[in-house]
Amino acid sequence: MDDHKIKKKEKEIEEMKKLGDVAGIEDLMAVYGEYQSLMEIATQYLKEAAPKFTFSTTDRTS
Amino acid sequence: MPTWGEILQELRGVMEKEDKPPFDMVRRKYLKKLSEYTGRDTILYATNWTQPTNIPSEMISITDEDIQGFMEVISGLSGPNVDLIIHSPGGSAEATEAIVKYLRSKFHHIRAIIPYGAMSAATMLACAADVIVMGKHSYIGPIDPQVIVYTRLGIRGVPAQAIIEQFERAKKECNENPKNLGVWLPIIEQYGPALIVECEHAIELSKSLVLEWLNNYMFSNDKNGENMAKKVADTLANHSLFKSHGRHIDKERAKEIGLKVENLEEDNIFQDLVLSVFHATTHTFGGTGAVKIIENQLGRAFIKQVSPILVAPSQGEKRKH
Repeated sequence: MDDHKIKKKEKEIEEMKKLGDVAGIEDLMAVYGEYQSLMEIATQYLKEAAPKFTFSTTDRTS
Repeated sequence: MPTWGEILQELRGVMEKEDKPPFDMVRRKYLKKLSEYTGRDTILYATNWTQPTNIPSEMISITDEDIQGFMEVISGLSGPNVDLIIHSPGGSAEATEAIVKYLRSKFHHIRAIIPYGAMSAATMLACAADVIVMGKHSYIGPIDPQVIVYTRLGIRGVPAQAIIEQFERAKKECNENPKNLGVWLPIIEQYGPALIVECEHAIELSKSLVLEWLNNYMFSNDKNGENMAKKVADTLANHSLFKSHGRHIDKERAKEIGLKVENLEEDNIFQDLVLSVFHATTHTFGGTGAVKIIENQLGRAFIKQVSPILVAPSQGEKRKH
C-alpha cells in the first residue's frame, strides 16, 4: 500500500474512532455493568459469523 | 457493492486494531458517508426483526417511546431535507402518527429509504415521505390493522378486516339457518362487546392517516393527487386483496399501486452506502444486545437493547410477528 492510501486509511480510522466516542452501545453496556459480556458476544459473533446459504421451506413472515 | 461478508471483514479488522466493539464505529462511518454523499440529513430507524431471535415484539415495534429517540437524533440536524432509512415490522399507528407530525415539523422534504423491509405501520411511515426509495429486494406491506384478541387458545393478532368479514358471515349464515348459531356462538363470544366497532375504527384510522399524508406530501403537487392518494390508501388497506398482513409488496408492485418509488440501483454509490449502513446495522444486532437503533449521521443515537446471550450466529429464517 502506498503512503497516500495508508494516510487515507489512518484518517478513516481516526474519524471512525471519533464517531465511536459518541454515546452508543458500548456506553450503554458499561452503564448496566455488562461491558465484559458485550465484548464476549462481539468477539464470538465476529469469530463465528460467516456468509452461508440457508435453505428453508418455512414461511414465518406473517 | 459491499456485501454482508465484506462488512463483517471490516468489523473484524477494526475489532483487532482497536480491541473494542467495532459496531457503532463502522455503522456510523457509513451513515456519515451517506449523508455527505447526498447532502441531506440522514436518520436510521431500524429494529432487529428479520433475524431469528426471541425478542418480545413490543421491543421492536413502533411505539410512543420512539418519539424520545427521534428527539435525540433530530437535535443538531439543520434540515430541511432528510433521508429516513426504515427497517421495521411496524407497530402502533398512533405512535407512527406522532412520529410523522414530529418529523414534518422539522423537515420539509422526506425521502424514505427501505433497504430491506418496512411492513404495516412502517409502510404507513414511508407513505408520509415525499418519495420512497426501494431496491429490487426491498418490500413494504399492507396497512390493514391487526387486533390483539384474547382467545381460549391464547393471545392472537388477527386482521381487523377478517374479524368484520367473519362477523358478517356469521350473521348471514345464522339468518339463513338459526341452527348455525350453535356453531358460531363460541367464536362470537370471544369477540367482546366493542370489538367490531374497534376494528372498524382501526381500519378507518390507518387508511385516513395514509390518505392524509399522501395528499399532503407525496401527491401534493399532482393535479389528480387526491384520487391518487385515495387509490393507494384503499389498496394498501385492503386485507381481502392481499389475504395476509405479512404479504410482501415489492418495488414494482408498489409502483403499480401508485406510490412514488425511486430505484435504489439507479446510483451505484448511493446504493453501496445505503446497503453498507444496512449490513453494518444487522451485524450490530447480531453481535450486541441492540434490538432497536435510531441514529443520525452525527453519531447521535437512541439504542434499545436486551441483555445479550451467547448464541451461534446464523442467517436465514425470519421472525414471526
